Amino acid sequence: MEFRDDTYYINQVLQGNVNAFSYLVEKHKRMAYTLALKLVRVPEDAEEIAQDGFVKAYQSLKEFRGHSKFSTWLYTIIYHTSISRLRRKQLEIISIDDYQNRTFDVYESDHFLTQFTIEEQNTLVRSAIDRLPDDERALITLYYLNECSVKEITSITGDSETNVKTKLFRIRKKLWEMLKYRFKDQTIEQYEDKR
Amino acid sequence: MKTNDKTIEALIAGKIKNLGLDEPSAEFTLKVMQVIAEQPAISVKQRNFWWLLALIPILVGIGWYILLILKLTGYITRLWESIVSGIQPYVAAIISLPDQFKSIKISPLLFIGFVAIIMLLTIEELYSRAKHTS
Repeated sequence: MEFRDDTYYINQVLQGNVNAFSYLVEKHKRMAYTLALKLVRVPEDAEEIAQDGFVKAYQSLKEFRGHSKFSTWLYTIIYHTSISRLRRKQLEIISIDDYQNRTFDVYESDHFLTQFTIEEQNTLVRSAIDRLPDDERALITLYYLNECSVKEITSITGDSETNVKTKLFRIRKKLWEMLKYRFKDQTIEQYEDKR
Repeated sequence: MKTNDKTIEALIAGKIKNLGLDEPSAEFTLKVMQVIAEQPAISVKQRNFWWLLALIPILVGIGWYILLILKLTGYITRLWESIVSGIQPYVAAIISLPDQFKSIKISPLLFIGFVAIIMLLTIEELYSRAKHTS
């Protein structure tokens, strides 16, 4: 489906064409849901948060001035709604320190394979990401999956640029520590050669 | 071999991007639009400048009274010169001031114009409110 610029649909909605908002929903729903899911980790809750985020964005559309992208504004709503939901539910966070002290689960200990399939690699990466704190999971989702700039991430999360960069650096190190021995077929040389 | 940060970043970025985005349920958009359909309309209120028309009779009235005051100044000057030259004040006043200053009348046309503009604005406001709620 070809989409126009967000501004076009926003203007349509403000002129009274409410159905134009469905194009904005279709365009941004996957990233909105992914962001919420990375934070709350429950698909039903993530879907509810993403839907609420779109409704709140619609209700406040008159105040949207276009200084940032619509997606940045939307993800800000979803990020803060998810964080509020997490604080209310007080979900358990498993930190990297706990991970290092835990015994590996069955999947990890029984799958000392010489080669993982792509699907298995993805499962390991997801598992590693799930072990990160909430804000760090959101950060890598925004940075890598949505390719948000550091500046956009600061406006979404409310963090400073320095903090965001520091956290991204730390996250990469953490994930690297968790994953480096798992991809025996993905050698360093492959990445060194591509640089 | 020491792995540098750029290599780690490339590796991690590649792995995360491979995950792709998660897919919400098929009815996601429908559910959102159903909730939105129950919301009041949010179209931006059109700014109108019809209210500026109400200023026209006011400005015309102010201009008219300013001209009147300027004329009055001229007449008072003449009155004063008459008194100073020895003519009795009552006689000087009769000679100097024209009839229009002997009784002050508010122009009925200005008043009717002002009321008409206010009525037009009220009708326009009621019409646009009815249009939004229908």
